[in-house]
Amino acid sequence: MRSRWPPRVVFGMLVVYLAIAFSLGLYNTAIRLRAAVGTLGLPTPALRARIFGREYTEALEQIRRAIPEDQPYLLTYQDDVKTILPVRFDLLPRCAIVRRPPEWRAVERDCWTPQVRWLVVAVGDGRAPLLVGHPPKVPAGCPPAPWMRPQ
Amino acid sequence: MNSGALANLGGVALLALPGLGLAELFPALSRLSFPRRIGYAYLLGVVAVGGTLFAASHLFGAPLHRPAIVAAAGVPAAWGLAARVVWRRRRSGGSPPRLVLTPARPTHRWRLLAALAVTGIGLICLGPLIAAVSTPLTDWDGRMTWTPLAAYLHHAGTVDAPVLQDVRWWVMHPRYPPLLPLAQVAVQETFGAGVDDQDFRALYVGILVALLLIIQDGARRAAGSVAAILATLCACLPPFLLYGEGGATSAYSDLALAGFYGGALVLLLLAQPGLSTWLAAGCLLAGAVLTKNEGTPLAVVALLLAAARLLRRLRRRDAGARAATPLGWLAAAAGPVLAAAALLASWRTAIPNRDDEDYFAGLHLGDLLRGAFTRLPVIVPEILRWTFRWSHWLGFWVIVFAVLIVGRRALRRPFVRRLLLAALAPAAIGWAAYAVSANLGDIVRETWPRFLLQGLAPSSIVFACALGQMLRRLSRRTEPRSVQPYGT
Repeated sequence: MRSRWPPRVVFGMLVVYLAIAFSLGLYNTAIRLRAAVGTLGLPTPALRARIFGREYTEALEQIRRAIPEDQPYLLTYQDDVKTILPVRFDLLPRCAIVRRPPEWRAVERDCWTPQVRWLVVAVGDGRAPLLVGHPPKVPAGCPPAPWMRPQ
Repeated sequence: MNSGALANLGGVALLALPGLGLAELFPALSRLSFPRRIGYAYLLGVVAVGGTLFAASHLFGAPLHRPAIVAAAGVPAAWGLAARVVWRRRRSGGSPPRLVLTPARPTHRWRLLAALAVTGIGLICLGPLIAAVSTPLTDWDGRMTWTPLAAYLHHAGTVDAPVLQDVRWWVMHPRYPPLLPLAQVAVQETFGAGVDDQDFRALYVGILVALLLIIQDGARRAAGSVAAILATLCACLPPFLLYGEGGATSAYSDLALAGFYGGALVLLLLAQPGLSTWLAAGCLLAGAVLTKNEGTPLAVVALLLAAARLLRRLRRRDAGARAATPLGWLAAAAGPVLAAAALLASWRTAIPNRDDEDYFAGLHLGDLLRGAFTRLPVIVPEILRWTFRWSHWLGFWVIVFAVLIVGRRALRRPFVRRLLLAALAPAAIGWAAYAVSANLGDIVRETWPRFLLQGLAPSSIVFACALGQMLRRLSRRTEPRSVQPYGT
């Protein structure tokens, strides 16, 4: 007859796993519940400011007010390309054209870039992105971009 | 976000109700008790609403607004309700016969233990639900790929959004399948979500619950009630599944893919074969195809394993006369998959690819095979590291492997072997990607836990089978108590 020790040992491991993982699971539920109770009734902007930082969310709100939802913007970054991700996400559904830092100055590179009024610069995690505006123009020989055409 | 809690729950109902309606049309599902049916129903609801919006918008130009969403959700819900009423009348007031797989009457002590386990699973799943409805989205891919796609489609009112179709716009992975983003759009549009309202978050927690219910149902069919509830309890505990990048609080599509793939496998490999069962499985596989790029190869694997099951059945019976019926079942499962693949391919033709790794573009089989073997010394340690990472899995895979070793006799059964192959399929896709990717360390770190997640349902069912075997060894019983799945 086969030994019953291996299943006993594994069953013991299973019990230990369930005890530890279940306790941690309950603890995780409890801390989420406590955090949720702590923010109950908090308006969405205040909650976002608490999580992402007031400096960042206030700057985002200003940019949202400046750029209409049907207008595009150029998006670039100061040091780390990954910092453009939350900024792009928070500016949805506005469409972005991403330019690496040296590129965005080369406005004559294509027909669209000079026609974009806004440039947003992501400067780092939790830090306020910068907004730069300049008058858009249709380059010679280029057709007006879709957002420049009269509706 | 707090005010959106009700809208979040409404979003879950928006997908569950049409799914319950559809489930009424599939006898294999309508005969299940409600707790066993709702997991499949919820996923079918995601396919029904998202898939209908996809087809209606792409093929007929229907705008992604409330009328289309109400139609996509309302028609299957009403249809199913009508089917239920008709069914009840025909049965003169009786409900459809329920499928009973465990002949032994559960003891009082077992009922108490099962109730405790279900309560425990509920408490564990409550954490992600609370987190999802009370905090904004902070994960990586959810904010990089999936939710932006939903926002663009919602804003444009069409799946053929101009931002996807012009290469100058910055869109990460613009050709990724849009089923989950469309489900997001349905919820956001129905409840009139504001710019920072993320009413779609509970949708993903619902998918976690559906996945666990499917694991429980599949494990119960394969290994009996005790092993099933223990396996489900073990599977619901890894933090990666609950709070990780790919888990229930994120907006990744891996959890949904795991649900579609797992649900289809249970219906194809463990349920009594039949036209409606395999059609339901085909709908779930269509969901897999429309959810992630890996969905298509996984759907093919599921269909091949189902065909292997059919071949075995045919060999055991007088095959010649009956071959036409199983071929019809297979066609019922493959039809929705082909339709989904055609729809996806048609949608992609207008979208130039950019900002996408596209691992397999221009790849030769020789490169793949060479990479798969020459990179073994790098791939294996990385894979082991991320499989047994404590912060992700809390030792879940240690327990799975230990139980598989002790209960390895269970692996002799053909249906368990097929499930094991199904569990390994996502890992094989990952392996192929690692064989050709340039940045191996990063890609393994980011994707391997998600490949494990994609195969979680078949892995957990195989685990349940081995666990049942181990428990029998412990209790000195030699004969399996569990019910053999149909025709395996």
